[in-house]
Amino acid sequence: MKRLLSAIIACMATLGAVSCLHDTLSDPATRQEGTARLVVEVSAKEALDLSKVDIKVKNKEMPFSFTVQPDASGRAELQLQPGKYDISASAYLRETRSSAAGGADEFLLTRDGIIAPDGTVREARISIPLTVSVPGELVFREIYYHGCSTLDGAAYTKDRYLEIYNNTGADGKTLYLDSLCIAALYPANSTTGSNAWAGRDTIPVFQMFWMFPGDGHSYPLAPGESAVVAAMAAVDHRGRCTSGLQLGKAHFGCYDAQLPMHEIAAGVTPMVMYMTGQGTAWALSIHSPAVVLFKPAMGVRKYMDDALTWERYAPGESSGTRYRHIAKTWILDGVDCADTPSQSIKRLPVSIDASYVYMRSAHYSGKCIRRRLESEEGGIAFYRDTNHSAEDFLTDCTPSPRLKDD
Amino acid sequence: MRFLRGIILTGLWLAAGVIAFAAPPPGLTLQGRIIEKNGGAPVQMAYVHLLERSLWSSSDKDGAFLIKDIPAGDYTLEVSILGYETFRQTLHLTRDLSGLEIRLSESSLTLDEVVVTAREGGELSSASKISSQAIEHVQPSSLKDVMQLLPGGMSANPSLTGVNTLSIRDMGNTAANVAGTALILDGASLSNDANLQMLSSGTVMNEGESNVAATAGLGVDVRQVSTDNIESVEVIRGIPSAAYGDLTSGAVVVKTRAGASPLTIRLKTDPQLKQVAAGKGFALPGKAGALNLDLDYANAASDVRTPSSAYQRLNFQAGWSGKFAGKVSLNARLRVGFSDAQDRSDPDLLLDELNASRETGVRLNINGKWTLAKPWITDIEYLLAGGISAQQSRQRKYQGSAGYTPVTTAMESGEAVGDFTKPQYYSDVTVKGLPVESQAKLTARQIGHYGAFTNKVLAGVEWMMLGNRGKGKIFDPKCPPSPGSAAAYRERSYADIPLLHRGTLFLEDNLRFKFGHSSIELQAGARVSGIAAAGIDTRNFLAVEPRTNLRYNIIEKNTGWRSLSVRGGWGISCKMPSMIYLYPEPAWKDMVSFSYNDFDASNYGLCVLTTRKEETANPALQLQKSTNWEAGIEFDQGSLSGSIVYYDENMTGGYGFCTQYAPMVYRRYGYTWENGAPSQQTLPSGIQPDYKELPCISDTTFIAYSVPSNSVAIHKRGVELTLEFPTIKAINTSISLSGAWQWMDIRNTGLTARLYGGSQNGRSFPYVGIYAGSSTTSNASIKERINANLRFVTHIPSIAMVVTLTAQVVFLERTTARSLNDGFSQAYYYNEHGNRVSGPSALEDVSHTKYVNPVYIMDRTGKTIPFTQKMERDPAYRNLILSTNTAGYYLTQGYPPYGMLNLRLTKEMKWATVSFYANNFLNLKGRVKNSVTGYPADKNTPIYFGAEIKFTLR
Repeated sequence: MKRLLSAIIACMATLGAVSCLHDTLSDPATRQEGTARLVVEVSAKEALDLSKVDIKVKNKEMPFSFTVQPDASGRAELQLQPGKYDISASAYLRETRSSAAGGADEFLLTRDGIIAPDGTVREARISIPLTVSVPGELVFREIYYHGCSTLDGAAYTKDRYLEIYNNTGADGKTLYLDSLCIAALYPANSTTGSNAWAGRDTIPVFQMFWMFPGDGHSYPLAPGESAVVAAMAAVDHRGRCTSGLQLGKAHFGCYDAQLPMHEIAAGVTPMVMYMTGQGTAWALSIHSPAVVLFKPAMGVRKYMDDALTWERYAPGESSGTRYRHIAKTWILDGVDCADTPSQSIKRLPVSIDASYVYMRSAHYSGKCIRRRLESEEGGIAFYRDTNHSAEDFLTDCTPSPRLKDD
Repeated sequence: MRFLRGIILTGLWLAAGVIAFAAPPPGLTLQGRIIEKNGGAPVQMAYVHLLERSLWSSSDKDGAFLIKDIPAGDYTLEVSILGYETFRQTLHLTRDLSGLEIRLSESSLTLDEVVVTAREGGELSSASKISSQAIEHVQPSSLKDVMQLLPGGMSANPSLTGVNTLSIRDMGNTAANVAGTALILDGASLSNDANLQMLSSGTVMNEGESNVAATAGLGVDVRQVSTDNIESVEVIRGIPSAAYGDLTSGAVVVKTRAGASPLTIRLKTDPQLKQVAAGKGFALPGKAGALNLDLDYANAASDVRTPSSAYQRLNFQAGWSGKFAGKVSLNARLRVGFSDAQDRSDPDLLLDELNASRETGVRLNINGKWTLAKPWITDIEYLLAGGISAQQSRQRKYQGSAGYTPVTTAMESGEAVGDFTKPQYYSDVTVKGLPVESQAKLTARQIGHYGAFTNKVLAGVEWMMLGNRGKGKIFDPKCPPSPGSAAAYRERSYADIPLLHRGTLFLEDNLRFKFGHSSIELQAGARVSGIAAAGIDTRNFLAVEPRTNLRYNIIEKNTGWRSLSVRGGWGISCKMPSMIYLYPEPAWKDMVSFSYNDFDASNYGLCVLTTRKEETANPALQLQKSTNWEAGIEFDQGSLSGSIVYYDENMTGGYGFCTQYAPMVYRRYGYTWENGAPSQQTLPSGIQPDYKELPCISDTTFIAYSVPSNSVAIHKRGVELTLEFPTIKAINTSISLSGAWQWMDIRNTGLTARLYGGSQNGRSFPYVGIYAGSSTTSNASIKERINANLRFVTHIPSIAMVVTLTAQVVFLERTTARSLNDGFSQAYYYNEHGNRVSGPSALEDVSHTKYVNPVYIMDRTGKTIPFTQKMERDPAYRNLILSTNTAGYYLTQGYPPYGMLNLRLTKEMKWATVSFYANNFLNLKGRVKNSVTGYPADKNTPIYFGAEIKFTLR
């Protein structure tokens, strides 16, 4: 009996010791083998307080992200779960109102290192050079691309618009819209498999681009003023659809007699169309357009005449469709909109838009994206422009364009 | 004296001999009684026929029959009546024969022999005979399902939720082949040629909507023909007799039941279909003939969840058949049919869209035979048929994004002020057609026997009248169906379309020569047809169709090697154009010359449109013609029998539409030229503009229109094989194999044009490309297939059941895309050294995109410029050159073999017959990889099953 009791006590003690040991072994804090180490180094050509830079790490497979600040030399060391990540770094310099931004291509982090998209394995160190950019003078204030539905329930996309805003602030200058161009970039949707044009100096335009008319001084935009450009129909959409927009009061309308589905009300100035593809309407993506505001350095006329330089096959192809492309240095402002962040390609280079913005609501929701208000001085709004659309824009907003008032 | 007596006696003797020889021998009489095998009850109105001389009689209420004036000789006696097995017996008549007792067995599965497959062979040209027993075993929902019994046929799941058309010796449903397949119902040809249900010239109404009938220009939609009262189907695949015409691929000859029959009620169901049919044949008292009544209702929906997309059919047929004075037979049939196909928006949604087609038709068919039995004429067959049907196709669509679109109602070319549509509206187009048709046919036959020769002469005359008296296309011009599209639509009334008459004369001779155990049969004939219609140059449509068939029966015995024959034939067949090709609609284009939209601010708008009208009739349209020849061998070794035939059909001039363009000049008010591009002036709101005071420019665009043309040529070659293996008695199973190798070369001929859709400098593209055959990179293709059906038919007479297991295997399936101009390949590419590669090496290359040039280009003045190789490098014409989207586009794509199993079962019980079928019951997907692209495809039809029960109430 005594022997049995002592045997039982001995067994229980052994079990207890083993289970405690087991707990210790499985504690994630002590198991260094569970996480992967990543070193991020940010740098900038200009003098910059690097400890103020926000490094945002976002896991593409699971919905978590966090922001860290590096030390004064710009170095940050992170312990992360292995997986697919996006890293972007940004800093906003309030005094000069300029922003610094940078990012790295999507990479796969493992315990042994980083697997780049082309399959090579290298050590887990990412360097992010920051480009400091001055805020844009002309920016997109609101872009409504989702479309809405008719009162009977059918899809309706004719009430979409883009709003351009003079963001030079209270002490800024009047700018002229003449000969500026608006376009959507190719690939038209972010859901296409891959972008053969990524990382290049020129970017292809999708289907057509629209130019503001005028001789150079016809259409001024004072600081704090907006110009609403109706993408398909500058008419009164109230009574036709659920968004209730009166685009008959838009400043400009994309209208051309070659596109029979476009409409324009009397009094709205038509934009000038330059077609680079085919179609009977401007097929701006309803879920993921990459819109840009640009100005060719040599002028639109000379740009269109020079087909030899500015029309080419897709990179890597020697046949097929020829695309008209623009230099990325001509772009004044660009926004990369995505359908779903986990499977999206980037059309705009990181210097123009370091990330992308995406709507949470369903297609045809009647909602739009709007730039965040940074400050208001002397009655004139100043909007945030850090070339980082995920930070700069609010999504799922109700469209409220600043139309002409009369 | 004795010498003189001798001479007179010899003279008298000779004279007697001569007189005996010259005077016709007295006619023999054949008498007998027809009774039932089970029970011995007399069979009334059985048709007793001596085949060789076409002498016939019918039995009275005691089953007795009598045929008189029969010349002595060998005959085949045939006794047939609906519901009983046909009785055949050879007779050698040298004297009167009476007291002949013939026992008929009722048609049922308890008999020792049943035929549930198509019967091949025995005829002068390739023909498949399908009996009602085989049709019932297939369990068809429409005639198209019966075609899978033919060699080379592939089984497809029966479906009434799509158009069903017949196509002979085809892989799929090639349009010109479908149009060339004739359907003959009770002697009268069913024609779809008066069907004018088109949305515009070249666009069929409801095109692309699968459920509704969109068959204008194609063959008949056989969903309208119910299959319950079909007695027999004969599919003539080879060179038909001169009595059949208006076809290029073959004819499907259908006979419906006539005669007394018990009441049958049939219920049929499968995942899509519910069908109920009832029929009865009444034997009228005395010798007043028989009355047949048939009623059939079917309802099919492609998706049970959306019953708003459904097809319905209701058919009623009343027929009277009888014989007068033992000499004239008459069959009169009245058919009333109603079919309705609809595709409606879900009623739970606010949207109310609809695609529908509805047809109500009445047809009267009277045909029969008058036996004269004179030496110079044996019998005359007559046919009188007519029908009228009301067709209505409707397309109602919600135009939610129309906006204020300028429209005009101008019917002639010119400039006029127009109207605006409402910004959102329902467009509702209805096309009301009323095709009327009547035909008459008289065929005289003379059969003569001259010793070992039998000669049949067939001469006939045929007349057909077609017309369409419908109200035509109706819609509100302020609510057009496609706002902002390049083509403009106008209403059209069919009242001014004249009637179309077709007349035919045909003559054919059939000579048969018997010697020993062999015989030779030669058939030669010709058919001459023409049309008469106001406004048509009828010289183009004079068809002369000579046809000949030869059959040499090398062996014809009853034992051992029973028969061996070789046969061959050659012939020309023509298909007359249907009315949509003779009377096409004009094409319109409306260009906006001025548009001022101030509706939102001041409820005012002004638009001016320039209209251009183009007549699209083609006076150079020719006949669709096919030259066919075939050669075959048939044999019956006693246990193994079969046939193999090689055919070659060359069809040219297939009907279709080609696109053409013409330049159109129009003014644009409120525009000025700036750097070669039109520049628009902004007009202020609130002030009504006077467009004539505004600056204006003159711009040129192009109008597109479809022209009927002979745009398809199909060359078919193939080998068809059928083999019947000996029955395995131990398991009551007989095995039959039917298969075919089919090869088709389909070419689009003629020239068709395309305008590049991108604008240049704010104007439409300055050039139109005119391409050979098609405005895509392939205008021809070669298709090839080898497939076989191995059928195991297990028949157990003791339990009256038949089970058929069919193994369908496709051994080879290949397609090759081609781009040809005058027979030469057009595709080319430039290699790395800048050299131009074309011809066969360009087709085999797998690393470069291939290009196809237009043959001509048209500029804004309308001048056609031939496209030269130098123009290939000029960037101005770059958008006119077609390019393939893959490098291996012209390679032959094929699939490895795949197959599936089908099961059919029929069981007879006391009051009912139950049938069941399962297609692809093992659910084999048939997933095979394309040899060039590597993409997998599921080639087998999905698993499908159905059942039916037929009650027979006596």
